[in-house]
Amino acid sequence: MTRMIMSGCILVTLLVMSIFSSVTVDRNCREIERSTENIWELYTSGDIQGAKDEASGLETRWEKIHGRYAVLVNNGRLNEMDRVISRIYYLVENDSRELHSELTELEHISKGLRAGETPKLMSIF
Amino acid sequence: MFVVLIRSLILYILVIFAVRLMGKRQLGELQPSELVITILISNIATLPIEDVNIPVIVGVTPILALVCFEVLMSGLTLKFPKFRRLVSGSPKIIIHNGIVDQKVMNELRFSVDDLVSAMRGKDVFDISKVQFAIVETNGSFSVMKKREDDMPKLSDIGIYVQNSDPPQLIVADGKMITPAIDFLGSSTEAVRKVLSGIGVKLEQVMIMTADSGGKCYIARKSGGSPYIIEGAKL
Repeated sequence: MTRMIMSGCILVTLLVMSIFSSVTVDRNCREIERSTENIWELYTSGDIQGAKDEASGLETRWEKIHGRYAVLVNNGRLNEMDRVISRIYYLVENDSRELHSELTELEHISKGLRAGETPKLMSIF
Repeated sequence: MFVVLIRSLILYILVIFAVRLMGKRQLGELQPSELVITILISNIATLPIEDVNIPVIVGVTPILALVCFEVLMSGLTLKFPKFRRLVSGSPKIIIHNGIVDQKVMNELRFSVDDLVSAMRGKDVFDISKVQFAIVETNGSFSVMKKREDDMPKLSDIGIYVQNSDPPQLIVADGKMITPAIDFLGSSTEAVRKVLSGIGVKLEQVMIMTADSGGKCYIARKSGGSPYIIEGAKL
């Protein structure tokens, strides 16, 4: 009986942790996607300083959550996101033509990460 | 490499915990679901060790989840016999009254070679001596020989003896095993008295066993012939 109670408690703990992980990753990924959209809108409207501020804010936010994500998610994807996010500020500053493709790539990686952590039918199978 | 070492230690402790959580059933012969869990756990545990990009939690979560499912499932099979039959199957009688049931053999995909080999595993080399045989749910084989071919028991030849529990290990490597002493209904003082009666200190004892009839076996760390005491007051 003790084992069954322990097993039940462990399962409930795992469930709570999974829900927390899923909600956290979903929320942060949506913020990253919103940031990428804002950066592109500001850049295309000519507000380079605004785009740079947004990019800087994105990088700061990422540095805060990166460590936490490393415990929950495969590091391969996180390394890719890290690489892209670290470049965005400089691409905006240098008015680079690669900015749009990098922002698109970041959005795709973020969506992929979110899909992997959200228990939908397609992501489970 | 240090990271791999620490992960190996974490996963090792986790697997030990998981096996302990599943309980003694796991350490004996395996039911089909238990075999599946054992194989899965061993494969999953290697993933975070081999690849440092995979977080440890990705290995811990499925191992704990599988073990907990298994424990809860075994609890359910205990309460619901129909569920147990669904998950583990039921034992099949393969030899009844000395006659081999070929229908059951076909059902189990048991060849004649498998049958004879299983018999030999039970020290039966002559199939004509088998009265009854069952294939258990974990695939093991249980055999009952015909009475005339079986070993005679004491009751068969009119000898009746008192039943008793086997001897308990009460001292190991100089230390008393209190649960075993309590099981015998004795006390640590009584054990010390028995030892002092033969001039042996507790620290000098390597093995001491005792049964409910007071028969003690004492082997010293220094070697030499063991002491065998009958009727000790424990």
